[in-house]
Amino acid sequence: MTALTARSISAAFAVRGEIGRWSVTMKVGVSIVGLIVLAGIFAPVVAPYNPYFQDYDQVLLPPSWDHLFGTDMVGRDLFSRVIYGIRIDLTVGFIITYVPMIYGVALGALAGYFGGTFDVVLMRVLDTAIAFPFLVLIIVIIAILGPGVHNIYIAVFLVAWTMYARLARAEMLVERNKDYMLAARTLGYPTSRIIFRHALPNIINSSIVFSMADFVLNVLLLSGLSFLGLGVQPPEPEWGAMVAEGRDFIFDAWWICTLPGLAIVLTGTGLSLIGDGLSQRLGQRHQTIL
Amino acid sequence: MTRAAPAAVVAVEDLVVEFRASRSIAALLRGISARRLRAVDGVSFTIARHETLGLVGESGSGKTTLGRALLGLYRASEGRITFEGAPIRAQKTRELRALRQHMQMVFQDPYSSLNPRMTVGQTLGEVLRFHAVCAKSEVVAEVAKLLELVGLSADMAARYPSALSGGQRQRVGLARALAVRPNFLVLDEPVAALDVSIQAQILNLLQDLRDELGLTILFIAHELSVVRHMSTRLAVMYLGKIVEIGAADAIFSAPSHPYTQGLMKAVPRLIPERRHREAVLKGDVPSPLAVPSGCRFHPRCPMARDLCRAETPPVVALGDGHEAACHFAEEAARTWAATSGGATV
Repeated sequence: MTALTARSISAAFAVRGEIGRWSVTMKVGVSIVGLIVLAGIFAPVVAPYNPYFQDYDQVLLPPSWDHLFGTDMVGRDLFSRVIYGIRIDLTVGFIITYVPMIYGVALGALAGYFGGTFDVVLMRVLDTAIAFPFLVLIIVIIAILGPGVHNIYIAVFLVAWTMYARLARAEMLVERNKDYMLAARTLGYPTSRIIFRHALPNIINSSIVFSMADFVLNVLLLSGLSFLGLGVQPPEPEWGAMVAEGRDFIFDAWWICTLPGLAIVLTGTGLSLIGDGLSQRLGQRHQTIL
Repeated sequence: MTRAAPAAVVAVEDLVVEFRASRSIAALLRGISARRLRAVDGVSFTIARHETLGLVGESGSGKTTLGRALLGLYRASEGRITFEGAPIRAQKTRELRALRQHMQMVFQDPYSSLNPRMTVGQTLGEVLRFHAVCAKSEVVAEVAKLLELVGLSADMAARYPSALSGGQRQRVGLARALAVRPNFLVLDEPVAALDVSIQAQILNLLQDLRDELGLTILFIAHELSVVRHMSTRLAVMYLGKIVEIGAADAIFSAPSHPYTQGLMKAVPRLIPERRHREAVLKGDVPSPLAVPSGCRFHPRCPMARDLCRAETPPVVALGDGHEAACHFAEEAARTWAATSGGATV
């Protein structure tokens, strides 16, 4: 019991120490994104109305205390829709950022470690994926499979791993010749342990920092594609789709476009600030969050 | 030197380690096969139990490659290596893993030889757990014991390598090698990257541990003065070949290869009268991709003659296991004795 308390106290101190080493940008970014994530998780509590409920008596109302962000052309409460939108935008953004990161880093690390034919083939595949125009790719996929989020997943998963593979490969090329890697081989460790336990924590930093910028771009990508009608389909409360819906009313009801747009901007800012703070934090310490 | 127990721990026979030099794309397309670089070119020697063999040579002489080949990190292109009678084959991962518990290595650069993301305790603990050196519950105590063995305090276990000095890191590197309780160690220039004052500490520690644990050691260095401190026998390498080998005392008193003599002249002296005024070794080691004809040392040799340019020198036995690969080994030894008057390092 006492040991348990002692451990939790020391853990609490470790967390406080960690936060104490964050830069101001990091703290601001984490606060913004933290609040947004919390609002998304507790959306049923935070949102005052059902985001799908159409109240034709309350159409195109400007922001007020009853409807913080006003209502849209079919009388849905915009604030509730923006809050529920967090769930869609952050979840999809997270998946299309971190799933490709996992196999991108793994492929890049393997290519950098083993070199040879595998490396050459992977790099040419990667060049092809990078050279292919992304919007054309996604339009082709949608032309075949029809619009929807799953097509965004397919298209992004085909392309987005390339940057991570490149970053991880470049770092691995530096790292694999260091003596500690040779020492790990001398100690008889299996190759998988050498690559993933010894090398990975040393090569992952640049990918983590890049992933925050990538996350921002992916949220923008999702809302951009939904704005074009290629992504999340109405009536789902996706921010880009909401901006697209409000486009026709921009002179009469500015809030329909603007406020979901601001949600995108705020999320992007928060993530960018975290990315900035992470690059400072991971650059100075000899530990990663892994 | 006692020759009572001649049982060789390590035996190397005609070892060749080749690397393929990288090709340009143009060469690849024209079908030109990659040139082969012989880093180790036909080397034979043995290391007896409890013996320390010093291996010296300039950068690029292949001494590091040789050390790594002994541990199965590089594949032997030709020849064979045996450890306690069992062959070491780089391609047999499972065989090698068992051997790892008996042979270990300490690396040159203490700044890159420890994983920067792992604490000292994690690094050492991983070795103990992986090789099941002790029970899991005893790992922490064993780590403390290892740290004490290399002269560090047990609370170092919580530190990251970035919080340690070069000498401390090298001690940790040594502790990691000793964790599996090996009986053969390859020390690859273990003090070359350290301050002179720290070098002496580490060398003394190595000597103490060798005597305490009964280790057999291959000590690689590029400086004779460091090796002399440690070695019972000495091998001098030049461009992938051993040019002179023998008891350390014999080589220091009567170096019989001009290259060994050149290395000895390069040792800095405190007493001005003992300094070698004439030129020490000139130039650099030639590229192993373009090995000189005949004796590979002839372009830099002060004694070189036509014979040296034409013919590879035989290995001349000078008695008591002392051998030199020079056409004029005996003459070289006499010249040395005459000019230096036996005033060795």
